[in-house]
Amino acid sequence: MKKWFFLLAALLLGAVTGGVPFSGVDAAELQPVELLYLNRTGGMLEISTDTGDSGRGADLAAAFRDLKAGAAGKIFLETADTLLLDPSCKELSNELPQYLRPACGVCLGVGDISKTDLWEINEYLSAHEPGVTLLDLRAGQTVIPILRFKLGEMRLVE
Amino acid sequence: MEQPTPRPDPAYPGEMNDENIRAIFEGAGDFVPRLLQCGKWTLYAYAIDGLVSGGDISEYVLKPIAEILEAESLQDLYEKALRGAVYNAVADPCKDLDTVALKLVNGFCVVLFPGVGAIAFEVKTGEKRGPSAPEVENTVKGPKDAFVETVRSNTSLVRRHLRSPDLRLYETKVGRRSLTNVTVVSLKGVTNPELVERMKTRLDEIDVDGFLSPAAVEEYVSGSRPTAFPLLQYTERTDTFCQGILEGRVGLIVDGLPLGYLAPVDLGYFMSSGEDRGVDFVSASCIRVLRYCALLLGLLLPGLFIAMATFHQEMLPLPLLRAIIESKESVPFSTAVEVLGLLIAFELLQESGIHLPQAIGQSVSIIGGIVVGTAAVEAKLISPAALIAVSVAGICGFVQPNRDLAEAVRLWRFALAVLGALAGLFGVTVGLIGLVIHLSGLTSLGVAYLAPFSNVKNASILRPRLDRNKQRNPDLNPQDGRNQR
Repeated sequence: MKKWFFLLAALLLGAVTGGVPFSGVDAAELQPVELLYLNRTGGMLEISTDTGDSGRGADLAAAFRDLKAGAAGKIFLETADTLLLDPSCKELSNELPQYLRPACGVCLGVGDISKTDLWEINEYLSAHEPGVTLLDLRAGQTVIPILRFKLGEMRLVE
Repeated sequence: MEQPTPRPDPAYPGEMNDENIRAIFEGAGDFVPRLLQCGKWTLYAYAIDGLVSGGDISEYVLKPIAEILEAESLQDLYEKALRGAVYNAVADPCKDLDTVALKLVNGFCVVLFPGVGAIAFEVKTGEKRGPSAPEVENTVKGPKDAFVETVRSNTSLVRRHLRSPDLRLYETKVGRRSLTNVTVVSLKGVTNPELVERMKTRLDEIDVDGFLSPAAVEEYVSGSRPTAFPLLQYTERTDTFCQGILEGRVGLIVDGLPLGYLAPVDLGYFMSSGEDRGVDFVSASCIRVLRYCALLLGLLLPGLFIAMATFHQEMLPLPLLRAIIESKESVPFSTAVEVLGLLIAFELLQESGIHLPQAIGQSVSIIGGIVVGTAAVEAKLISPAALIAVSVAGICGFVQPNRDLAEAVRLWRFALAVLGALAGLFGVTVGLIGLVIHLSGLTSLGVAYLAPFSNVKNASILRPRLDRNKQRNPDLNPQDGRNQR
């Protein structure tokens, strides 16, 4: 019995001192993202989230890296429900399943969308889900629903 | 290393006379010696106050000696007393001082015929607790007589349930100083004699001062293995005990304990309840499945919760993950600290509930479980999700019919939670594999602990229909394998 206690104590000690080769992130530290907005500004890709975080980069990988590095907690993309694409980023839709789950809905954002509008847009898209997902795009779907946004008013056009 | 004190044999050497008998109990305030005049002969009577009935001594020992017994020689007097002149149901001749001492501490009145011998007359007091309803293993249907602290009352209860003349009660004493009466119960023609012999051998090998507590019985009889899992099944229900005997298991009744023990055991026995035979097989089977689910949930839930909330968030359904994240927003502790802390708090609450008087214990449980729990959640010290996970695991523990098994699960639940906090699902899986290996290595009187699951043919967690359950458990090797036509 003693050896079991010693083993458990050693494991706990290892965990406290960081000697255990496993590291997790507590759920409390996660920044669960529900909506991402992908657009281009000044020749750079910019990803903004409904949590208020954003990242920029020359390509998707760099933009996601910047997004994760600049966030207050750990950006958690597994909860992303919708991806809002600027029409200029439409061609990146095939690369996005590498970063987001395939069931994530996709729509094109048209209008004067700013980062501050994302929370409101997320509320709207939670109620009006776009019928197309990243998986559909990968499977060859070409028609993407459009979210028209103007002066705070929005409308999803299939 | 210090050698054990050798046991003197006989414990009380010397001639059987008044002086030596008094010397054995010198300083014992409840020892009552009495000088009797029987015609021209002087006899001595001894008893222990409190163990004997004064009225019975007067009526069934002293009165016949004074009024009826007479003879020309002391030897004739002794013979007449032994053969019924002193009318008492039990009159045992004592051959030495050891026997005299043993009879006295067992509620006999010993009459010494100096130079000839001594006779022990049974005059036990009637003061003992009568059978009452079981407190822990209560069932809606089924008998309500539970074991009491007196071994003879318990054997009579067993006899009343099993009126077979083949019922065998092997009686022995265990404990150098406690001299505890222990009875091994078996059914001739059914129980594997090898099992009975193994049990007797184990009892004979026990050389301890006292054999008083349940832990002493369980550890000495089962061989004190380094495991939290019970290797003897206890029951306070006489019907469960007798059912076990009928199945071909060996029973053990220990004086002073309101319990009966059954061996061998396997996990299947601990998962069945007395209630299973009180309801139809469909309901009993459903409840058994529920019990197994509760066993797994109670064992794994805290560990899985920690693992998933810390290492594998992507495995959780999104709404659940969001709910967990939201619930943890303002909580200052990590999930692992929260859950492990709650598990410890839960154990503390349970312990306090056990040690306090029933009325106060209930109040403490309510205050601890509801008031403090709710306050802690509202104060955002713990998240509701963690509280729910630990509470559900705790409730699942209470579903188990056997407390010993539930306590072993409590211990392993904690270990799995620690492993989950250290290495996520990998840790939980390693712990689970370790548990299965540990359980696979356990045996009880030669029967594997996981026997019900190692043989596909016998692996049934459902309660079989009684009319189709014609065979006794083959793992017990019963002499008669069939229990009905």
